[in-house]
Amino acid sequence: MKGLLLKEIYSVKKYFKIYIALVGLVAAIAIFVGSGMELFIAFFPCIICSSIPTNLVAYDEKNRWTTYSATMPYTKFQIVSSKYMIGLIIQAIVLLFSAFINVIHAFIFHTFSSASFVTVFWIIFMSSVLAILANSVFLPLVFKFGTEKGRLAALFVTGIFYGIIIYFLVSFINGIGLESLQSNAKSSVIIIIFATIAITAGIYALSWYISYVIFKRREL
Amino acid sequence: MNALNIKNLSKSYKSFALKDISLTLPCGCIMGLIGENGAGKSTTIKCILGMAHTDGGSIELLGREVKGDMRDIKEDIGVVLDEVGLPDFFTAKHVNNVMKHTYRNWDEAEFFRLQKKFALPENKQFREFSRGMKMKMGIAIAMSHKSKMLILDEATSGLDPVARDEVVDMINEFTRDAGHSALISSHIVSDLEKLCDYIVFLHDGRVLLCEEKDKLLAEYGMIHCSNEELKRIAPSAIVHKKENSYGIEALIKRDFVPADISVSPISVEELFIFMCKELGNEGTVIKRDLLG
Repeated sequence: MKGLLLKEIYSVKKYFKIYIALVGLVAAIAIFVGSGMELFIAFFPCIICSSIPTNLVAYDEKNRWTTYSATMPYTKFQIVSSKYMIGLIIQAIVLLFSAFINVIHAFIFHTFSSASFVTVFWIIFMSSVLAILANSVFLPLVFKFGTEKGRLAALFVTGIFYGIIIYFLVSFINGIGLESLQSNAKSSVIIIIFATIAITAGIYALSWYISYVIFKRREL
Repeated sequence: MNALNIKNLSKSYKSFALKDISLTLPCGCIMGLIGENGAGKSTTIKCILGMAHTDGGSIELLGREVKGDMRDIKEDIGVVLDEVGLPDFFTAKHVNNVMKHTYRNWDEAEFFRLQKKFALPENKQFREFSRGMKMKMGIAIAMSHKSKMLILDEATSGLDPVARDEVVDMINEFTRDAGHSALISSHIVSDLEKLCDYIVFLHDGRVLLCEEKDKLLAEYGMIHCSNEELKRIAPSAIVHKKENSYGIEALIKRDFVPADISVSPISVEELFIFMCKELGNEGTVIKRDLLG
């Protein structure tokens, strides 16, 4: 399993340099250009990196790694798991990175204690949740239909997911989300966060299992 | 112990089926799987590796049944498919790092020794390798984790004669150890003729023949004769005949040929071509005959 994950890490470093550069650029712009960038830096890294696991499957098919790895001492469950695990690792790193950039931004522009700072962190959290949910839908599709057909289905699903993201952003920008968040007691916010994490984790685990069942039946 | 034991393996697709494949490869031997394109060589190998589901029969690899979790078996097997599926940006260093976390018995020193031996550049990316270099890299990986058996599927196809000869040498080196076995599929029969102890002919998803190479070459021969001379040979001994303006060329079973008719040795390639042509010409009657 370690070998599979190491291969994924090498692949992310090699194939997704442009993503890393884009996220770095947006972070730099957010910090040095000024206020008004908080929302963008909050959701952009999570969303752009949500496509990495699906693209990794596409690269594996192109390089014929999927077939080659099946000749090695790995189970089909481990091969599927490598994509889900790298998806979680990427989202964890991106979430921490976005939070870090926003803390710096808040210090520079003295918004650390303001309501908008809370809103931004809520958006980072929700973006991560949506990115993980998007992966939960994309991965079984590409394992089932391959990357060509699977991507078409994924494009359709992407539209729906990013529509949801835009809805959330607009809601927060209009102050609806913020108001509802502020109006809630601290304890109910914590309950909402934990419930969201639990539901997302449940959907991700279900998707992981479905992908395994699909991949187990597939002949390589 | 047998390195490989397949009994009555069957596997059906919409337009193709493996039918009742049975073969045995003793430990320390090399078996060549010969067949035309689409004969079922790759499907057989995929079934052996658990990469394709079987419809019936059983497979034992290195004394263990091919079923369920095959991690332990795969630790002992080196596999080279017709394409080595490494990420295109991988260098030898990447390969070593990934494989040492993949195989329990990964031998880093042996891997880099083979890299040098095969003159594979250490810092070049895999995408920049020629096909011959890619195959050598695949073989280096297959030989660097103390594997007991090599399984090669069309590993020499598409290679130039020099590269093919080098690959054949590598396999020869591996099988010098008495405990090492190899199963090699190819439609380039001349390569297999150099290497193999056992020959399996696959045609249309069936085993036409599974025999020791030396026994096979001793059993069959070629005669060039007239029609009158041919009539003196029992029809059951004639596997295939070809008539031209110079007379008749026939593949025969040596034991049934009168002593005064001279029999020339035959190569495995000729034998395979003649048998396949006969099946093409005569259909299932001859097929049953050949299958005994």
